[in-house]
Amino acid sequence: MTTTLPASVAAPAVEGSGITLGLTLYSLTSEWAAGRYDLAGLLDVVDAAGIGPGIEIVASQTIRSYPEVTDDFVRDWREAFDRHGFVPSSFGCNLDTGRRRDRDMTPDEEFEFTVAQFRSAHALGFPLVRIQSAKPSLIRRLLPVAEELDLTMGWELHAPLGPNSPKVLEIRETYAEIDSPRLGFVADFSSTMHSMSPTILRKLARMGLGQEELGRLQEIWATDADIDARHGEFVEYLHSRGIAPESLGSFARLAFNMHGHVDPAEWADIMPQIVHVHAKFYYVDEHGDEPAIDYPAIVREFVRGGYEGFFSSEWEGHAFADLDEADPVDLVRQQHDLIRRSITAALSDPSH
Amino acid sequence: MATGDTVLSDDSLIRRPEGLGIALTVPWYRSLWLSSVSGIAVSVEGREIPSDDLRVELGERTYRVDELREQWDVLWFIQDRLVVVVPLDEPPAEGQEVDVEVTVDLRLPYMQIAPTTYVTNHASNRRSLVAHGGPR
Repeated sequence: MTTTLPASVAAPAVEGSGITLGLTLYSLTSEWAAGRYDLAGLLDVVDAAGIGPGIEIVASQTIRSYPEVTDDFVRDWREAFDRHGFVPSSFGCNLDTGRRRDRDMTPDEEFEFTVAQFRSAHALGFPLVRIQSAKPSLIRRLLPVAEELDLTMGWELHAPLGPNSPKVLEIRETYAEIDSPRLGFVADFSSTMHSMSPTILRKLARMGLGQEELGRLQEIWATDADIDARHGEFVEYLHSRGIAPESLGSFARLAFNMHGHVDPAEWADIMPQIVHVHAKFYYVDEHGDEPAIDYPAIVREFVRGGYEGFFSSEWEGHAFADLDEADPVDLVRQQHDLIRRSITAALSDPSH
Repeated sequence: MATGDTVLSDDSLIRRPEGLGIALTVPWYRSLWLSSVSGIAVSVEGREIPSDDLRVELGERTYRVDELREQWDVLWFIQDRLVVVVPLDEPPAEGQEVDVEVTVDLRLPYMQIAPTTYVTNHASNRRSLVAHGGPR
């Protein structure tokens, strides 16, 4: 049985551009995990704040019966989407290959586990699935299922990688061989940050790092070595300062993992293959800017490249900030303003 | 506490006939299979409780800590709490503050580094919290 929702269409963020707005519910992870809202309540909050219409989910976060959906869940979801005029944007799949302790999933299990999520995505009206494995044999097997369910598959390109990292170049080659319009990339702006987010620096300061250590961290971060080398150098430095790296939990590594510093101009190299965007951000400052991510420069690449699709706001400050330290809904609203302002500027740029 | 290091919340401590129940939040941004829990360690008032003495409840089911790794088809939904039951000679009095430290080690099943090797997360919280609810 395959039924599809009546297709709601999102209006452009700014007249004359192909960019549409929305958010991933992942932005409200802390509030969700704390049990502040059920799904209906969460969608009500999004609607009241006017930060739709595109709604993205991480399935393993939102769906209790993951990787499947129940009929009741589908019914409630459709009712809520009709009521609010929301548009399903991207369904975030996970591939839990290490679900069992005694062995990894077999190729058949990987396929079946992913297909279950594709069917859930379709039942909920999503046109696109975010995938985490671009293994050629798996992709080739999934393609007919994507065809049947009318889904586009987007492999998420996230920090520390960029469009021209060796691993991504391999995937681009696979894509070129298969040559299907159903294959593309989800571009996550964590790849193209110009500096480390003040939000993680504040967390690390709370965990005991002083100005000098934070300064050194940012210097090492800005170099071009791979993340293992940069993380290793920082750990060595911490030892030299008499600081146990374990005192920072996983945050020292996350700093390198979650923040990449690739040039935004590289997005142009894969623009026709970008099928969805995670508009990653951590903060919006008093000038309305993201202090670590150059939105005007990134948006200019997407406007010039003729991108048509969602900018799905992904506030990831919750990875470093405490519950109630920030208001993700208000931040997304401010970031939508920043995106609209950046699009307007790009459209009026004579080199456009 | 942020997404990856939140284990305890203000209302985590529950008075139980056996002693103390401690309600745990998944220290990650998504739901995880119970098999992803590599270990749970608990200290009460600075005294470490032997792992074999702990019982772990999710919904209607109860496990020993070392049984969790076999539960690959049971999802610890992010909005549900895993209740660790700690046997104590004297359950805490209503409203009594108890100093608890809980450490949860996770193996993240979708973040493979090499065959059968995955990224881990180590989350540890120590807090003095008021026990609520009444032992039946």
